[in-house]
Amino acid sequence: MAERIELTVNGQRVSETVETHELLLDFLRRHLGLTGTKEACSIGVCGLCTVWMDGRTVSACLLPAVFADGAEIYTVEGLAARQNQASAAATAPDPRLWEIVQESFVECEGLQCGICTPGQVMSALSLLSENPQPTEAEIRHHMAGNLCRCTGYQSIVRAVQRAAERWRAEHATV
Amino acid sequence: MQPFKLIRPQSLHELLTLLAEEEDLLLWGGGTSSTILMKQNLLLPTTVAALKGVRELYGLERLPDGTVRIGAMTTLRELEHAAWLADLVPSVGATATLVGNVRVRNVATLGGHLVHADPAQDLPPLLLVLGAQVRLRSLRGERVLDLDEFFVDLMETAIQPDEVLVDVTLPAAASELRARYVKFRPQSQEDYGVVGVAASVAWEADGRTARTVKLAVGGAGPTARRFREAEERLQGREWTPALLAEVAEWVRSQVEPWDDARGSASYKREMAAVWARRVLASLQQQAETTRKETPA
Ligand SMILES: Cc1cc2nc3c(=O)[nH]c(=O)nc-3n(C[C@H](O)[C@H](O)[C@H](O)COP(=O)(O)OP(=O)(O)OC[C@H]3O[C@@H](n4cnc5c(N)ncnc54)[C@H](O)[C@@H]3O)c2cc1C
Ligand code: FES
Ligand code: FES
Repeated sequence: MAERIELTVNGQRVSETVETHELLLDFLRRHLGLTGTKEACSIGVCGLCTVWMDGRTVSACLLPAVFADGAEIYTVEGLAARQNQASAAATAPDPRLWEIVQESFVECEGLQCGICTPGQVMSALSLLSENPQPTEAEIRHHMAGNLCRCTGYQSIVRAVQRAAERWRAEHATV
Repeated sequence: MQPFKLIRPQSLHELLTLLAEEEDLLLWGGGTSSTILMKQNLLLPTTVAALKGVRELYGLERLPDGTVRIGAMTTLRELEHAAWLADLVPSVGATATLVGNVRVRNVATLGGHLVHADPAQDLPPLLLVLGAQVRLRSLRGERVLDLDEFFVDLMETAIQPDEVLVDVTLPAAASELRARYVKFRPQSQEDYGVVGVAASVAWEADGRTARTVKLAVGGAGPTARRFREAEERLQGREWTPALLAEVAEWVRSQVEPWDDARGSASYKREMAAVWARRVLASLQQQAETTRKETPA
């Protein structure tokens, strides 16, 4: 059964007809061609499909697109669009923080094959948006739902710590 | 997954009318359980009603009489983050944060969590020992059930097809209990536990004698459930290691686990006993520390 949905994806208004059983993940990848968001487990466990929705992360594999009607979504492709956005909802991710997170993953080699990276970046972004000074335990707890077969996680934890340091340094009051 | 018709009721009355009229209506909280079951074709709803527009199912508040009211649509993440709740009944947020991963908790609702009724879920044992009640509504009226009466069998609750779970309440007395839930999980952090054990206790003024005790175990039988005989053995007494061992032994003999990927039945039985003893011992330890810090 088809339903019309209207939402914002990476700052763009999108109005499309979807089947009620079409998942947000397939909507993003197939309808919109946003293939940065990956799929592996399809049951909410691995974190590859992590996207930003109304200020928090969700598994796009566990959400039919109809339930994202009216939502504001950012995917890993969204940074440039977010930087150029004139105005955004209060729940949109901070573009500077997002940039720092991505740079820190590169700097700390928080990736190898890279398939988990879009999800890792979106999860790290949500953690630091909520909690700019996480402890290592808090980082590990928050990032636990993003599996990585390559890095052994140490470099991912370091990348998040590095991003937090840089973000704090920029906001330190002299 | 199969297509379904989506309805978006905008009030409780509209929802209850739909529930009374539509056969086979699936209510949609966060949809984390339902989506997986639908992907596996274990659930084939023709019509889905989104609960998102139903204002009456929301709210996380302390009522004037001290009762904590948690609307069915409250997400597990909201339970985790409510600072006033962490002051009042810290075990709720501490347990909610153990569920799955952040993305699940961001979306999953307490109503969906309870109605899903997978025996390995984390909040049921804790809510059982806090004395939680659930409020069910239908056009026929309202029922308030103790959580004990709500869980009936494996993934089966007392909720009727025309009812919706409106909210969960914790009695004012819950804030005077010392409560703890332990999830025993040898694998990775986002897994379900092998077993989960919760206990709550109200100590007498001496800080040594247990006035009331509740003990519940999840993951070791068709539903999370309390072990009343164990509770009775612990009540009105000072706890000795021998008493805790006796209670653990009794839990071992009473749980009804089965073999699955999370462990064999005998292993789960063993772990239920071990963790029942440890949770009780940790509550006792906490009471001792409090006594030392505030000498009479
Ligand atoms: C990857 C993953 C990991 C998980 N790990 C854990 C874990 O470690 N520990 C744990 O405890 N749980 C775990 N879960 C389960 C999770 O807790 C449940 O999926 C979730 O709580 C269900 O809530 P929901 O709002 O998404 O439910 P939904 O899927 O929306 O609904 C579930 C059921 O409840 C019904 N329902 C929903 N709301 C109401 C209402 N108000 N009144 C009447 N009926 C209603 C629905 O019709 C459906 O039958 C995990 C789930 C996933 C996907
Ligand atoms: S594909 Fe969605 S969490 Fe794994
Ligand atoms: S970098 Fe390969 S899975 Fe994470």
